[in-house]
Amino acid sequence: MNATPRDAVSIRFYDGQRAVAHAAVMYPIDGGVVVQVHEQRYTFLHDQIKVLGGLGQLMPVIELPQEMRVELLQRQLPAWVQSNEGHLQQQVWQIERSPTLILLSLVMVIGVMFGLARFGMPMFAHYLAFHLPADTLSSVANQTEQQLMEMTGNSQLSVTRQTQIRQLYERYIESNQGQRLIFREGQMFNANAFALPNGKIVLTDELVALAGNDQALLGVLAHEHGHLVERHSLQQAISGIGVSVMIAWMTGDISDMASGLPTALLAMHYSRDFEREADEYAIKQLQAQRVSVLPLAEFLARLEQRAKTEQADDGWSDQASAWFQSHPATSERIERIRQAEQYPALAP
Amino acid sequence: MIDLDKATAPPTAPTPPPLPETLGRVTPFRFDGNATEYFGIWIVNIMLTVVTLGLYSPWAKVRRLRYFYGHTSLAGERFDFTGIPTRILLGRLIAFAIYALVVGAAWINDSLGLLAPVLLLLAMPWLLRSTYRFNARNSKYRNSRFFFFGQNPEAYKVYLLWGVLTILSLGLLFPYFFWKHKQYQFNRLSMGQLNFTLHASAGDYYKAMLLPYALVSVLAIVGAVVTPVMFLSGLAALFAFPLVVAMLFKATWSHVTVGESPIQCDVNEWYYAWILISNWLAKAISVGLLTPWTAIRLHRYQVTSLSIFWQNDPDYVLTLVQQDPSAFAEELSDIMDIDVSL
Repeated sequence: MNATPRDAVSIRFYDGQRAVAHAAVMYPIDGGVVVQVHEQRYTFLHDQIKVLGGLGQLMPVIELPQEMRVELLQRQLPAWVQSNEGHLQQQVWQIERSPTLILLSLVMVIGVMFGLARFGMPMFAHYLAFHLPADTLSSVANQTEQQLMEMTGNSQLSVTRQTQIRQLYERYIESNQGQRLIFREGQMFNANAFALPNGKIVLTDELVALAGNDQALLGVLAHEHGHLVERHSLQQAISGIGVSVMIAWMTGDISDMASGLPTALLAMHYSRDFEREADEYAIKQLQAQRVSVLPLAEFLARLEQRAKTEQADDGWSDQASAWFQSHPATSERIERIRQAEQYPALAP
Repeated sequence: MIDLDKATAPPTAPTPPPLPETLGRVTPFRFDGNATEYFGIWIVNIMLTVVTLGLYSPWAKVRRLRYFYGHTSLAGERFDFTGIPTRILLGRLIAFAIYALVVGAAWINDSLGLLAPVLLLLAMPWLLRSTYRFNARNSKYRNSRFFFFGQNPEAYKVYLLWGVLTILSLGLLFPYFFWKHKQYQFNRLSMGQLNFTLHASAGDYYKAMLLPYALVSVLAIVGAVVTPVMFLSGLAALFAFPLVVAMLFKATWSHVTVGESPIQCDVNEWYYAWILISNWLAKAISVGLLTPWTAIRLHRYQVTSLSIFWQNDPDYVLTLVQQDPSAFAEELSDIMDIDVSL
């Protein structure tokens, strides 16, 4: 049945010849629509029309063959305009204008981004890190090592003591790999240890002194070795790049330098997980060698205590707790190590 | 059957000619979008892109472009962007397949991997030309399409030949190269039957690119002599690049005519540069949430600094009928992360 012009809606019509809009009406007929401008009538089949839904303050538009174009003067797209995509676009337009749905979208996007950054990306980074060559970050690490060398001094430890510690490492952690260890005077880094992705472990004299005993030192070495084995540096690099790419993709801002900031914020989270993982590695490694992990826990507790009192003293923590700061020793971690204790302390 | 009377021949009866009231007048470009409204579009775009695992992104792109085009108006009439998302999606999928092939080839053989960037470089002029064509023909003013009629040989001369010469000149020719690029973009563009013309000289571009850096150098030297000015030279260094961007904008848009009608540009370079810098800060501080606000702010400033001194009657701009060029080339450059929107 032919619909009557009762259904007609007012429109602006471009005839495809001149850049001038004409006042016109549009109404449905069987299988299509009719546009009537004065006495002139144009008929279009349903599959000849392409609807551009409303957007912002723009009313829906219909693009027609031969460069003809209809601009509606109302928000509604008449139901008799048969275009699935057109009606879908109209619905999207509704979502875009509803404060509730905008808020919901915002919450969803933040939730998904957080979830991806917190869980998805680390999983992906872990997977990828173990499928890339082990020396992926070597050249970067060599540069870091170079810088570290320039910023620290020659070790004041006696060669005997250095050899002793290397032997400790070879005996309990990794045989024949004592050359991994580099001893330096920490200076501005003070008591600290670094696991570099080129397989080197840098220990400062200050840390060796602060550890006090060999068991605690062994714990620190096992922990740092854990970072190497788990390829934490590579994972962190992948996560950092991944999060930037993700943000760029979602906000459509490839060249966005601002994306570096959230990466830095999230990096703090990763490192916490990595510390826990390195602890677990140290526990496993030491227990396999029937070495007590208690001294490591005590060392961490001592560091934590020290950091607390120092902060209370002058509101600014002393450099002595540097290792503690880059390795946040929460009571949780200490507790976990203590609970894992199964073997008696290593005989001195 | 309805087939018989579909798409009747266009009318030959002339409509009464409207008074050419715009002729001889200056009409400013206007922008009536706002950040609140655009925020909704932006966040829903992201949400739907996430929910559809990225498949929505062509629709998101079209909606973003349409918002900016559609809320830009001249003499009371809006612009529009009519790119079809499904075609962009197809282009993206093909581009992604090619990208995967290139990566795969690099995996199998190192020298194949080295060949890929060379091939991409050789394809660049073609990609740029296709991008201009796609963008132009999907841009409309008063239902009149823009049309880019630059040809491939010229694209290769501009981008490959002058690009290589620029590298050989250690960058000294860069402003000249940029001028060639802008000439290619504008002098081969038309709106209806009105051609665009760029009247800027290479000197204008040399000035735009060198002046900010000259200023910074002077301030740095002064700063080295008088210590308190050190702070000033640091500030100026921060401004140098945004200032170049602003001066390039002005150099181009103050020297463009559409048909016989010159476009006028009263942009303030310093304020423009300030917008760029503060936009970047706002995005960094808000972890990206102020992105819609910054985009609207910049676009509004750019658009409202422009006006046209009409020497042609826009009412008589003919609507040109064209065929659909593929969206593919544009999308290929899109996925390869090449920004061609200078």
